[in-house]
Amino acid sequence: MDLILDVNTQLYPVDLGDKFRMVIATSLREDGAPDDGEYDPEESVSSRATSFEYVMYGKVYRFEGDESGQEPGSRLAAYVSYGGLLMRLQGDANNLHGFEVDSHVYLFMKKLAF
Amino acid sequence: MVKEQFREADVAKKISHVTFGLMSADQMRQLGHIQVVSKNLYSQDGGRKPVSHGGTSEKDNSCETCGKNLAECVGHYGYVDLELPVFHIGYFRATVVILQNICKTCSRVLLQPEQKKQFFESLKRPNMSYLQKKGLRKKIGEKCKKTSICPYCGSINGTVKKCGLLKIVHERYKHNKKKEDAVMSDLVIEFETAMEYNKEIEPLLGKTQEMLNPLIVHNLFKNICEEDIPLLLMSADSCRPEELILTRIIVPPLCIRPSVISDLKAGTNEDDITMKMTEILFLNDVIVKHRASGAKMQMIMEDWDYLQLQVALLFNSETSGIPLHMMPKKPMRGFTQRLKGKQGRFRGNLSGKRVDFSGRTVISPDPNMRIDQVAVPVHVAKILTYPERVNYANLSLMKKLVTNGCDSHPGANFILQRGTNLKKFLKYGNRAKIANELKVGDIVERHLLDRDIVLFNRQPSLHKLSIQAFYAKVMPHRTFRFNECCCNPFNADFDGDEMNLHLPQTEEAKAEAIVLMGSKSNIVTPRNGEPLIAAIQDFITGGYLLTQKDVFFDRAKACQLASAILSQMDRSTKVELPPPCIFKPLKMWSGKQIFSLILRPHQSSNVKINLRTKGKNYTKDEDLCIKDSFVVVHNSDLLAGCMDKGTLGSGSKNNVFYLLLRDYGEEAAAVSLSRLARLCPAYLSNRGFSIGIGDVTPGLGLLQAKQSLLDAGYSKCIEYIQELKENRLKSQPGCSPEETLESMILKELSVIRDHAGNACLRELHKTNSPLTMAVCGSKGSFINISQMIACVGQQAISGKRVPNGFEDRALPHFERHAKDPAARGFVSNSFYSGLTPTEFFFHTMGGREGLVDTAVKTAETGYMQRRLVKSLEDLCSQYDLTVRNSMGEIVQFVFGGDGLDPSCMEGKDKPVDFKRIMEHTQCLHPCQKDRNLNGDQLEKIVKAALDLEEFRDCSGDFRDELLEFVAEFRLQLDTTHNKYKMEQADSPEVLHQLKRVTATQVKEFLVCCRNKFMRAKIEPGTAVGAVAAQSIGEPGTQMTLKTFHFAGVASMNITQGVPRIKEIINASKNISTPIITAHLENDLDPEFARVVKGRIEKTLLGEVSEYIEEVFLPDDCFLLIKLDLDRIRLLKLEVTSDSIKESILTAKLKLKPMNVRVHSNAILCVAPTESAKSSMYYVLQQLKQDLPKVIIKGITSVQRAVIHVDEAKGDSCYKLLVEGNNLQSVIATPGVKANDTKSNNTYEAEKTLGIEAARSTIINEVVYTMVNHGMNIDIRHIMLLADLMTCRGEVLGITRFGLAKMKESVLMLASFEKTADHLYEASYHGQKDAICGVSECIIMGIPMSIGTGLFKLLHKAEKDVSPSRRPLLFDKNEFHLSETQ
Repeated sequence: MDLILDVNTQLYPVDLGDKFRMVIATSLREDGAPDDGEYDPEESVSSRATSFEYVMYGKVYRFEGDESGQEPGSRLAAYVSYGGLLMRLQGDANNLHGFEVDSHVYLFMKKLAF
Repeated sequence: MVKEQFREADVAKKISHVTFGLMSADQMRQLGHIQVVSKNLYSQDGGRKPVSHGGTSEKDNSCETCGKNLAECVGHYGYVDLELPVFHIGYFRATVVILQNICKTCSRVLLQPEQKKQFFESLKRPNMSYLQKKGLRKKIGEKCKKTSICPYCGSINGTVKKCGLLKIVHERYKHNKKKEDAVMSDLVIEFETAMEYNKEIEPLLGKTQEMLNPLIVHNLFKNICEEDIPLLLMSADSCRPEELILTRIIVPPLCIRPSVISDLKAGTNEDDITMKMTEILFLNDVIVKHRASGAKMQMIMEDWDYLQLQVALLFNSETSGIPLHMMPKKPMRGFTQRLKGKQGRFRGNLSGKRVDFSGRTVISPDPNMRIDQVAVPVHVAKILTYPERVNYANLSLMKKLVTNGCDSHPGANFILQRGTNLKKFLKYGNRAKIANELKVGDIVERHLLDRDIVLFNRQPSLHKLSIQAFYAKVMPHRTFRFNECCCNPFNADFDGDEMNLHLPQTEEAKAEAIVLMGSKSNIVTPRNGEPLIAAIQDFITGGYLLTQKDVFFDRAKACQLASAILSQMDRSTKVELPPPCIFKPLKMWSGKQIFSLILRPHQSSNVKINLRTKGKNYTKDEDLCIKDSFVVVHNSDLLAGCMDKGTLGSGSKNNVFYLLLRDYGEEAAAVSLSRLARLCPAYLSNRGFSIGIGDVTPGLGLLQAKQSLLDAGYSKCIEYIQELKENRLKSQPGCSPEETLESMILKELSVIRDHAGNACLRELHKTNSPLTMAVCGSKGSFINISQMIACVGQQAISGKRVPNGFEDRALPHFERHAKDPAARGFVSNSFYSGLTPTEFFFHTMGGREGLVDTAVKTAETGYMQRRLVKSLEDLCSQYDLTVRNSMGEIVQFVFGGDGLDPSCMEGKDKPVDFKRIMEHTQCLHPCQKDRNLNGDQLEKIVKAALDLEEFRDCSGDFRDELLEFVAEFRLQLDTTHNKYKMEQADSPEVLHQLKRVTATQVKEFLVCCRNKFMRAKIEPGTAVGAVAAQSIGEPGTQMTLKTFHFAGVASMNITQGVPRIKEIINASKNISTPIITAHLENDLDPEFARVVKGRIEKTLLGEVSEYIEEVFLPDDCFLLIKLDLDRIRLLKLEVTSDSIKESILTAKLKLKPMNVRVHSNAILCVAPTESAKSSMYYVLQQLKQDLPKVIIKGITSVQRAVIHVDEAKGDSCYKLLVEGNNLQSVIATPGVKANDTKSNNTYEAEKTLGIEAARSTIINEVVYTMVNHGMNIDIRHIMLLADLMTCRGEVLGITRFGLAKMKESVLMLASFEKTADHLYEASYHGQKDAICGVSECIIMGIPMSIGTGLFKLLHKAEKDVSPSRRPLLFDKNEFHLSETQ
């Protein structure tokens, strides 16, 4: 799996060599029920976000196959835009299961000690 | 006074045509009320009151003739009987021509009876066009000129010609020395006595000329028999030739020559015409008296001449050739002067009229206005009124307005009560009472109110977008204000520009104006379909800065910005703040999210646009472009990339507002644009964006970069100069070494500035304001920045370095013959560092050239525009899709070849951009539940759909294009499907997201494409001609001075820009740079190219000979020519000494074959022969001069041919560029591929290849020139122009000569140029002018048959039932007497 990710380093500084844990989910809620995509400033109960340091909200907008080469493959790239901060997740189709164009996703990040 | 709705009800009184003709003396008398005999301006009975015949010119005096007052009296004519007839200056030419055509004895037309018969045959045609008439007249004239002996009376006729001013001379006795013995002897007898006493007469007798004075001519013309009149091409039923001679002059009524009571001196100021009339009367009186008193003949003749001149001046005061002593003291305005010119009657009063209900003031910007609004100052609103009829719905409002009166704004100025004709001024009187009495049906002239529709215009009105309809918004202060986004179509800025405002006066006018001219309906320009109303300057900067990747807002700021949208129409729009893009550690919204609110403020809005495009600074890797310059808009969410000129500004079809316009209609686009106009300034003013000295101070890095650039450039230049000195410089093809050096240095130096610009981009900090503006494209370029900060660069004057202003140098500060950069106008300083005196001087030189150029160009393009519009104005698309002119003549069978409207082109000259529509549909309808399609299924669906009924209306071309796109799309689909093995059942679900297309999507796609195509069809009635003329003329004004080199060949300049366009549309025969592009049969071999070049290029004997020597031997002398065989071989010339001999013999040197001897293949001898005129020596010398100029090979008209490496086809593809004319010979040259050979000269193309070739040459050349200047014009406009120019079978220029051959209408031609000439000619021919064209209709005040005037509402009239036939009275039985009685 390859990952390219824009991070707001002013809010969440990351350094070369940092290790982190990353989760991509369709909902903030602990129970995993999908949310309605509407923003409610009051809502804050039992959020999955509490256990992470950095959370972004974005939209999957594009899938791209590997154009080069003729041999059959299954490497895919999914593009997600977190309000302009882009992410490209490239990898085997099986690992990208559940991604769907036009769906909203949350990205959770947490640095690991080592 | 409400303007009634226009109804063409009174069909019985339609002007069918206007007939021009001559006015006979009798008609003048009938028309006149009085014979004028007195020249006195004032009554002589002591009262000294001004005499006013023919009307009144004062308000308080009523007309003495009809008793009506100033407004109602139409004026009354008078007439003056001239004692002696005079020539009419306007018909003088015609008079001479008629005299040439008739016998000067018996007045018959000088044609043989059989010729006459033949001409009568052709004259019989009933529908002869005006042009044919003119042609026939010329033909008859030529025939008559050849006849000298009258076939009817046998008398001799000589040539008739004009002799001095208004004198005609007949040279009866001049030639035919033998035949006219009889005539001559008569003459001799006449002069016998005179000769006896004066011997000097005799030698002059042969030169006798006959003077044809007006009296003689008048009598001759009277004798022309009725039968011959058609041969003069006059219309027999309306006029006679003698009417060309004036025996009576009509005196115009007072309203034509008003007398003004002078304030300063006693009496009146009289019009020029009046004064001239008094003079004529006076002279007439003098002649009468002289004749009565039997004065000397000489005196009478003198007076007659003077009278003649005065009458001529009355009609045309600009008559030239007046003898010095007769010259009028002060210039006056004759009748011709009143008609012609820009301020004349035709252009100044008939074609353009002054209007009421208009205003003009300074403009200023207001981003809070919607793009279809204009702020009108209260002052203006109180003066401009709209006559509104009172009805039940507006009764209370009108009452309020009437009560307010004319001084407080929502008020009214006048009221017109129903049934009365009385207008009440609401300033005085009891307004409350009037308001109470207001009834339904009254008309209230109310003030301009909010949401009234006004027309807004800025001069110069170069295209239809220069006048647009806006909704008025009454505001305080004194300027017209509108959204800056609307600046582009008007080409307005706010440095003091003024604009005009008109208030349409009827409901129909308002409705038509807002639908057709509304600014919302005119967002795109019909020139090429690109948006013209779009974000400009700060809006782009704001949009760019807002959508940067590192712009984040907390909730307060995000909400504040989002609320900037809430205003006016959007006041109550629901704005939904999306979830923040960063939840933790802090809730933050990105600029892109806020920007997306402009497009789609809330989730329930269904406005979803999709866009994937490269930005201005795109590097690579699509979405992941390192400069974030790949814009992705997905369902109206801006997901990646920052907005810049390309996605916000005008002139790009990737503009987000353009997409909104095309996909969701003008309202959506207008609303979004208004939101942008509020949001971007709000963000920008919060953030701050300014410029200071720090922004233009170069850093150390930049200075170093600049210095190294300069050093590199300078050293290269010096190196070149050194090379030239040492003769090492390799010349470019077709250039001398000096020219080569110049072009190389210029190239080197002009690159420095560009590189400096790039260095600025690299070195300057990204917060640098000028840099930001240049990067996002809102204002300025990298070159501008480079000039401010780094290096001003090379100053060019007409495309070259600064020329010598002093002896061998540009300025005395430099050494003679200096060629280094600084001595030739290279400015190495920046505006920041300051220019040295010499640099400053060079810079002003460059600046001056630009100023002069713009000044010259505006006048030139203005005239070009006028000519284009005049010739194309009446072309209009019809219901049968053809383009016809007002006479119904077809110019194009289908507009632009496909019948599509250029303003609806979404792709490049194509109605639909399939790729974009496909992506758009895919995003719009995710259809996650549906199955993917594979290639076969896709194609099946498309094929089936295309066969359906609804696709029948689309053209075959369009369907082919669609299929082509689908085939390509399928190919991609298949490769992906194969690669990922998607057909397998166990393939992961996520794979189906790849290249996903479903049946619904395909269907939606097809429907969308079809709708777009159907909408792009041109509407019948569109004034395609006028639009084309404007689309070609308007960009002309923006064409700046630029010199272009012909792709790669430095020496071969071709005329570009406005001069070139002018050449093409004038259809000039001699263009300034004719170039023939010849492809070769073998275009890979440079040797072959050289051979062909040798065949084409003009080669002189002098160029290939080593020497030409005089040789004197004791018994012989000759010229010895030694050929330079090496050179001949090098140039691949196919000449031998024998062929050269041939060339010399055919070169018109009067040499015979024996004079030229060939000695060997390198040596020729030319021996001179003595002639009667000169000795052998001089012949030899003459030959020595002429021989080197003998053309031994090539085409005479070709100056030069250059072998050109075609870069487009790779390095080793050669073609020939031939400078010069004669396409025919080039095509015929062996080795040239005739099919691919083109000339840029339309006239050549027509002559050689025919009219269709000329048409495509025009199209190609206009397109080429426009593209070179970065102008993008839809090909359909240029096609129409080319079709118009060639539709008569010959190439007609858009000039007064071409126009006269294209159009028939006299009024139209008279309103263009040569007003008086056209009118005189028309009246000579008795031309009938059907009123159908645009110009004519405007002049006559009739709605024209273009646009909404194309169709007429027809209704089925109920026929009157014919009255039943009553039985005859006596047939009734009851009236019969019974038979029994």
